Amino acid sequence: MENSSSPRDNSQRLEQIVAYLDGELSPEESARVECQLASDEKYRQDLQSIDRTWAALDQLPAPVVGVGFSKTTMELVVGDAVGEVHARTQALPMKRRRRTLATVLMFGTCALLGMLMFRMINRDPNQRLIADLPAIHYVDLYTQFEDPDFLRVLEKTMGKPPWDSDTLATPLQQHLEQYKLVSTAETRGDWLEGLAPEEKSALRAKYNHFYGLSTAERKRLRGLHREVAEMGDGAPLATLVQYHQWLKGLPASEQYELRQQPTAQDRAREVKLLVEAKGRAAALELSDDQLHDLVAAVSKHVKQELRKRGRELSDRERRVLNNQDPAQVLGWVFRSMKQHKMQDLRQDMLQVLPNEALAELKKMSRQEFQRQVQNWLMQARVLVATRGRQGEVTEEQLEETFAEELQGATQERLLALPREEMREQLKGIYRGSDWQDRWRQGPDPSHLRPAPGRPVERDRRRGDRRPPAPPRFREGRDERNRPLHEEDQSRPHRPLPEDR
Amino acid sequence: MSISDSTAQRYTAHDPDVRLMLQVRDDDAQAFEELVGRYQQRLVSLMTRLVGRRDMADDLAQDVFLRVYRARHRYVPGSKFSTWMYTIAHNVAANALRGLARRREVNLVGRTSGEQGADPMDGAALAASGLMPTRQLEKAELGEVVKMAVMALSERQRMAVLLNKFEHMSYEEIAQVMELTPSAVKSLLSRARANLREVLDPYLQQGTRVAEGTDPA
Repeated sequence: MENSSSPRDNSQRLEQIVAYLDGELSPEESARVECQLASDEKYRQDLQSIDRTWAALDQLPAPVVGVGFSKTTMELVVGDAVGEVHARTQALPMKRRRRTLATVLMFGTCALLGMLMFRMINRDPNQRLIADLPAIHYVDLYTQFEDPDFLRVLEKTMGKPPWDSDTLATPLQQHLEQYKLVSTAETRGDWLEGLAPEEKSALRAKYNHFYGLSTAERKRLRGLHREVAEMGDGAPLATLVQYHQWLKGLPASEQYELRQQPTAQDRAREVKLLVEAKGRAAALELSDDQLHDLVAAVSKHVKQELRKRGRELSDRERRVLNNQDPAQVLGWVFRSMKQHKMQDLRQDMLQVLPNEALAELKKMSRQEFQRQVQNWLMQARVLVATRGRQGEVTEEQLEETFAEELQGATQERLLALPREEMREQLKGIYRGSDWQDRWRQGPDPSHLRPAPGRPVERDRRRGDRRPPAPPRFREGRDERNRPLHEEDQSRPHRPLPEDR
Repeated sequence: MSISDSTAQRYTAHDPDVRLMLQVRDDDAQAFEELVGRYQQRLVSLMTRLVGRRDMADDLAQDVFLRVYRARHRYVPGSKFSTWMYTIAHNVAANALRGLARRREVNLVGRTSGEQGADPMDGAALAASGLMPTRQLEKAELGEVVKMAVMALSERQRMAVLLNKFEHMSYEEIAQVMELTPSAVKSLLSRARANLREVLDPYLQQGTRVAEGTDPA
């Protein structure tokens, strides 16, 4: 422009004028422009020229739209719409198929994602059970040792035959097959399906036990199972299942002691000692009938003694023996034997004992032999004293019978049974069966010891001797130490026969 | 860009053309016909002034209406209907002008194209000052001069000027149509008016030839 302002100032000045004319300024800016207009002639002229040329734009020719414009526009649009509908109609089946496919895919994907999320959040316990079944089912076994080499050490330590035949109530092959069923992923489901309700209940207890262990311990047990399974079908596997069956009959306290052994050699040695001790205890454990026969033999001998030495006896002794109360008579015999009297009774008693017991007796010293006979007499006294108990039996009576009248081996045997079976056997022991009648009738010839070489047939009736621990499912390992109700964790000390 | 429900409700309430377009969205042919009737004159005028050729304006305006119709199902009232439609018109016109430029068919001076120089602005100034004597300018002739002055503007200045002058759009609305900022529109319009004044004001005031710089008699 013709003044001395810079091009930038002129540009801003023009913008301000144009914006003022277009009504785009704020009231304050408009006021400033108007002040400028009042005082600045050039500014005013600029505004007028801008406004004048702006007004000249009104002279631009305004075209007139033809009357047919609207009609042709609508025809154009309608033609386009028809083409659109036609194209849509042609594409409809394909679109529908695509839509259906997309819907199915969408639902499928959503369902899959949902299922995955659900399984991530709440993993199916059955899946966990199946995945970890070997470690769960054999949790008591695998927690016993750290390394598969223990099985080789145990096999070597135990020698052959390593286990008491009573340890395996079912054949070894059957246990091996079960181990393989549990170890093989494909057969685990079928094996689980075939379990009885009480077996499932026991497995649930093991499941809870397994998942109560630390993550590291669970990982160790899984790894240990893999290592054992990779050892194949050789002798270590047979040792494993035999050890497992034997272990199941062991009280929890003894299992704990075994776990605490520092080395595999120590543990194997301890196992061997325990197996041998239990074998001896089992051989010396008499059934109720065998005890009855023993008592009958004593009765016969006492009658003979009464006839032979009646006058040598004191009045009190004669009263006891004539009273025919078996408990009192046995008490007299017990005391007499403690005083090293009635030495010839030994031969009479040996006649009624089973071969296994005789074999063990032969290994004993005189003192050990006498202690064992006294032990049997004490058991017989307990049975005789409890004869004839009928009617309902209270929990307290059963607990008292268990704690005060049973030997440790019998207690352990009962504890290894399922709860209800243990209760029934304990009731039978409490009621004393038909001892009163048997005492009066004398020994039953059918229960007398068979001829040498003939195996003893063990009566499997209630209260008779059984293997220490037949393989059974229990409600849980802790149940073993709970005689009758869960709160009773402690057992009273079992008195020795001599203490009674 | 997403448009809030409140914005859509506001424009629906205040702009009857928005309500018509919503009916078009629901495939109401009568509503579309009414919209065509309302906007055909304005649109044809805009296109004529933008491209400078009457014969193309009808086709371009119909193209705009067709695009409006095709876009009906996607329409969301985020502005006045006219703003939305002129955005489409701007794109259509820009494409047409680019096509014309490629074919070298742009005729900035219309029927006097043989007499103008290479620069449209120079041609317009020459036509306005030298070819038409003082005080003999008829209204039709003045229209032609103004037309030449407008056509001498750049495409963007021309669009902004036409929307501001004949569609009475605010800077903000023009910015929306042309996808600019309001301050850019302000600057654009300022330069356009300066250009128009440079060509038209001397003649309008004195009828003298700008190119020669002589005073009127």
